[in-house]
This record gives sequence, C-alpha cells and structure tokens, in this order.
Amino acid sequence: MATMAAMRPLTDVTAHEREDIRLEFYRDHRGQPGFGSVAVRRDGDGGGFFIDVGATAPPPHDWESTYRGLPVRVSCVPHAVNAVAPAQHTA
Amino acid sequence: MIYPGGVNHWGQSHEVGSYGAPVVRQDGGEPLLLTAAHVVGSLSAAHGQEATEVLLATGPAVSSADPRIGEVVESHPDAPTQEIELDACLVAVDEHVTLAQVVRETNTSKQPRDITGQEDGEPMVVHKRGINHPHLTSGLLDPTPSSLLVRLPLGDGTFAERDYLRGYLLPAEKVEAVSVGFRPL
Repeated sequence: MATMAAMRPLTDVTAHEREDIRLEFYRDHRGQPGFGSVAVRRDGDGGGFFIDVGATAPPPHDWESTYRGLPVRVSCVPHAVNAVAPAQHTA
Repeated sequence: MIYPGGVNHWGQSHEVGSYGAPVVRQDGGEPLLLTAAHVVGSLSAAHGQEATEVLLATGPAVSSADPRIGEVVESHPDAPTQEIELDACLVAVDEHVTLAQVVRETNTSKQPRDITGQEDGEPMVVHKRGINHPHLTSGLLDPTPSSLLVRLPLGDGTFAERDYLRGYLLPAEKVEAVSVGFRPL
C-alpha cells in the first residue's frame, strides 16, 4: 500500500484527500516538540502537492520525508499562533 | 468593534474585540451578529462568567461608558474543546440596536464569500478590526487551509493552546493572527 502511494502522481490528489491527509498528519504529529501547523499545498504553477509542516527552528524533531505518498517539507513558524494580538496599553 | 462585557481576573475590561457581521438564520427571524467564539463566545476569556452581554466600543479604547448592544445566544463549540472545528458565535442584539453592513465606510455586498475550493488561489485581501490601535487593519489571507495550534487568552492572563482543524493564516504586522473558516467539517 505504501509503495502504491509513493508511485502516485503528486498532482492527482483530490481536495477531499488533501483534507483527509492534513487532518491525519495533524493528529499524528501534534504534541511533537516544535510542531505548530500543517497544510497540503501545491508546488508552483500546476506542480505536485506537498505537505507543508510549520515547526520551530532549529527542528527538534526528525520529520519523515514522505507521508501518504506526499513529500514533507518543513518551514519555520512560531510554535503556536495567537488568535488575538496582545493588548497594547498606553500610559 | 464589539467586545465582551464583564471584567477579567483583575477587574479590567476584556481586551479582545472584533467585527460583528449581521446575519439571519436560514429560516429567517431577527438579524443576529456573527463573530468569533474566541471574541465573545465559548472560546473567549469571558466564557463561564454570568454576564454574556456584548458591548460596542465607541471610543479609541474600551470604556465603562460603552453601550450594551446584546448578548451571546449561541456558540460553536458550545463549551471549550481541544479540537476546534468551528470558531463562531451569534449575538442577539437589543431592540434599540440597528445593524449595518459597512466596512471602511463602504456598504458591503452582503454576500458571504466561500473560499473553499480555492486552495491554489492567490492570497486575498481581508479587512479586520481589533482592540489595538489602529483598530482597522488589512492583511492577505492564505486560502490554503491549515491545521494548527492556536493560543487563546484566558481571563487569568494565561493561555490555552487548542487544535484548530481548519484555519486560514492571516499574517499580521508583528504577531500572527488566525482567521477560521465557517464551513463545518
């Protein structure tokens, strides 16, 4: 099954599958040191999809190179994003 | 800008505010205000307090003179959960309140914009309003959904980190803010 997934064209991933992959990756990896976010993106104009992992730098965790047949790339982000900006107090 | 009534752990006004968008339920009825649950609803610092009233900021900063415009009637989730599928709440406005569809002194189309299916699209301009100066800001929303860890302020000065299953990143000037989709999983 893993071999079939690896052979799959990276451009042939439906929106439903991308959603499924993103949620599964998130639930599999939350709690890993430095992990903050994940998205499934398309590489350039019409390129293949890849898994974009947002993690703190330096990477505290060795991420797998592929996941469900899609390459995994790690970019540097804060550990968690803030839903609201901290209030600014004026004197 | 609307924000929760009541006070925080230190007896101060809550320091989170946002737009409220007029909406009606599918079966009609009185107009309601739609905003994020992390602003005035179940995911906000005001959750759990007896007061569920919502105030309207009328000056450069929140004030005890700010008027009440309504109260929270529904949140999703109903109560704080670790996984967040939808971060939204509805506010029923008081009889004397008139709702308008104006952003930046311009009438809006009154039509919601569904960005699902546009994952590969260009970033889109989004206007947002917050508690901090200059209050009204804009940013470029990334249309690719992300699952991400989001830090939400609690009333005692601490934060809760929750799992947003479908968020849309909207980089801000100094910190990252998150806007969440309204389409249930």
